[in-house]
Amino acid sequence: MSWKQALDRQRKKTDGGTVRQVMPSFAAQPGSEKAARGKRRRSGSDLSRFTLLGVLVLTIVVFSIALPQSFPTTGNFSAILLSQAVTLILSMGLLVALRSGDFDLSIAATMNFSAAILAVLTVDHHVSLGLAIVVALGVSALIGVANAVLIVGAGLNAFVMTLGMQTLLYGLTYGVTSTAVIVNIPHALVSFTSWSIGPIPGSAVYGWIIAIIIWYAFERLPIGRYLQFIGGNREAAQLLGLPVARIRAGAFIVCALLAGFAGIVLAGTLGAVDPSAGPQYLLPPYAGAFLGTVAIQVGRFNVLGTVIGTYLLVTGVTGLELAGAPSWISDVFNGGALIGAIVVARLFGQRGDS
Amino acid sequence: MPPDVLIALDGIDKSFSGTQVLKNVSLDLAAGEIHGLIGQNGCGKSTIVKILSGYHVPEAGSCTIRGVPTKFPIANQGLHGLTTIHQELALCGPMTVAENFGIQTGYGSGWLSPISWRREGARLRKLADQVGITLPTTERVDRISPAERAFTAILRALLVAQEAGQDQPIIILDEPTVFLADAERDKLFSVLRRTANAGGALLLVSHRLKEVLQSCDRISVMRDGEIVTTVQSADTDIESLSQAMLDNQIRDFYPTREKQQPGKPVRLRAKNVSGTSLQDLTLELREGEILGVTGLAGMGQDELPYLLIGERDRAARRHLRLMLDGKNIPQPNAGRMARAGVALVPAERARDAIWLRGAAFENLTISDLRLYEGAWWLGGRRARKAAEGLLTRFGVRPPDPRMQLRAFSGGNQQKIVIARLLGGKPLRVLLLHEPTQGVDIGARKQILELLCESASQGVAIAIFSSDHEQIAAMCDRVLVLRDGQITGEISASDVSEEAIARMAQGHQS
Repeated sequence: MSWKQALDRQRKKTDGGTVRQVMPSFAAQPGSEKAARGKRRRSGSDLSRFTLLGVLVLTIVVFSIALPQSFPTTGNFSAILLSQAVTLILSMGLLVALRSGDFDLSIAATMNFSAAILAVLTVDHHVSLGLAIVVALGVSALIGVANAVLIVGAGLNAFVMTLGMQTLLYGLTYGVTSTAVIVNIPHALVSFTSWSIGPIPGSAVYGWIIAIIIWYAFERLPIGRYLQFIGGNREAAQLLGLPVARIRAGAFIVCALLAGFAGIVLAGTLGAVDPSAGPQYLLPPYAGAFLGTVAIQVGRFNVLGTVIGTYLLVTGVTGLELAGAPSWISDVFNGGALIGAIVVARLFGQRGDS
Repeated sequence: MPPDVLIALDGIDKSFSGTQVLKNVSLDLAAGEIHGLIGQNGCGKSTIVKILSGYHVPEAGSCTIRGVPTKFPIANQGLHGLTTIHQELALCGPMTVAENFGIQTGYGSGWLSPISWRREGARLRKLADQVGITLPTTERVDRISPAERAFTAILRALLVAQEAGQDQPIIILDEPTVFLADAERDKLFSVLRRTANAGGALLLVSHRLKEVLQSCDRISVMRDGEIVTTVQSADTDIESLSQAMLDNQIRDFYPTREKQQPGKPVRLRAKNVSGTSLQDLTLELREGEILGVTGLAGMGQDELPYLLIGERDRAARRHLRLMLDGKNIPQPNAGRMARAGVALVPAERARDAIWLRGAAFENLTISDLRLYEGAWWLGGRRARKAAEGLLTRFGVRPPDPRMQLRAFSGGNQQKIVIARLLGGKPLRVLLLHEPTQGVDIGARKQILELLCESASQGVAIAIFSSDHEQIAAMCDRVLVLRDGQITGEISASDVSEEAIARMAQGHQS
């Protein structure tokens, strides 16, 4: 950014921004220590951070009592875990981008494209499964690189850029699949995901492993702290000398790579690839991630909160559907939960502004 | 009160967090006059502007507009024909002059009736004619000259007054000349003069004595929140104005410090520093010294610290040559400079330095995580412990490492910013941009003491500030910037506020 732009931005900020930001700290000063103590804000040291978990438990209990025949069954449990495996992997990638203060709307499209490439290569062109997986993941990483170059490098608006990327990829997906559902996915891939440990499906286990890795990176590695700081104040991180551009670019690439992996799991789980399946996978990761900001580490995008949020959403939808609600209820529920999550976050003064 | 006084403030008191920033301030603007308001940084000028623009509510005092007592905060500015024009002008760059001109008055059109650009253009030209200028009505505001932008804002103010039926507009101008070249400045003053002659009252807030003396009818001088004198410009000169503006008493809120004589080895040498307002600057910073870099507002002291760590201007970075302790630093950027031991404290704290929603320990340890945590397991406990130590050592209140930054006062936030740099890896150079901006008096002294202490340990310190008083009190050597160049250097015993002010105004010694 040129100095001139920075100055312009500064001017705009000083017009209203400083007024809003600096003044409250003045207001907090009288009798400084006491006032500060009264207003002390710790990052999630109170019980409210477990509220979402409580809601999840409550939802399970309520549906188990209301629908004793169909809800609290092993089959339903497995179905819920299975249905969320792909969403969970997608939202872990999304979290990386969100945590660094960026946006990626092309995750579902990347996932669908990766699945389509895998299917076309193995089914139509009889490429070996291993090579096809490598190509699918490589293409996904390239999509992430394209996003990173244009957003971080050229400074394009992430929202518009990834929106464009999403539509472009949906188009390409129809192109490579000739608008047809591809069936007969190689057995090796199906067995890659169809194993299970008791009632726990293998694809869910992949999701959990990725969640654990991301959790470890976020909470226990320096990179997680850097991501968080860059998301919290990119300008400050830049002036402190953190490698902001590289980390943001990396976040886009990891995000796309995980979306690509989600595509492989999706192809294996369904045994088929539907080029029109993408759009329905975009909202749930966002809903889960934003719902997650009101839990565990309140006000921050965090892994545990997102996992709880994701399962809360699917539990609610499944319960309602088992109770006889029509299938459109899932969109209403997911969209409503996303809006509700940011409203709640806003009410508690935590986030919702991002 | 004479009948031609358009606006009068009387007995205004205002304090922030227990610090009184305005004491019994009375100020009036008469029809037909340009009234200058001058004073050093932090003397309370901008607080007066903010009261007049309806942002602050004073604790005591009254305001009378056109003979009618008005309540605080002053509301309905437009109806009073009262406009404040800030340095930033509040124009929308991608919109045209005419679009900016009519935005406050609804383009003279109802909600559902289409705008007549012909009529707007005619109104604009008529007003422009009255003050003796022409403006390109259909040009985008970001493509016209800075002076034309200022004129656009002034014309808009005149239009607002006209629409409200006030033929004697009141216009407050806050440092309007900062971004203008000399010729443009003269043109601006002729516009202001015509506006005043047409019956308007103008308040010109500035700290350039010369231009105030040339263009104003009366001048009020502020010092430490008080108006110390109001004089006719005909009866005064630069010398007596600057005497009135500066306070010669030694302040007890500056640490006492023995001024260092130059002669220590050079720590940082910068060549070819260029930016928006700087051209090919060369600068040397010595071990253990406190260097002050100052000038009038807009003279480049606000971009220099960022340019010196290779940030903010990518084009300038390519030409920049930096030598640290005799070693060349290729392609400097904030990361390389940080690793070399050069750190920056930015002026805009909330925007450039801290993560407001992050905990104190997260903000404190971020630049030296390895120092505080294991490489493969950030538990936070060690970092919190270390952070608590830093908070206590640097006198941050309360010393709670888990508290979010936004809950600390401005002064304590600034101490955290400085603790992050001084508490981490050993520093070689510390650059500070307006280090005590938005910092309460008590914390200010502590922060300055910290700087003196690190200087005595050999850290090379540079303070970039428009606060001449602070620079004079703290620095061993002062560089004065004017028109993109270093125009003066004052060292050791010669450093005084008067000397700096004289040089900044462009009077050679």
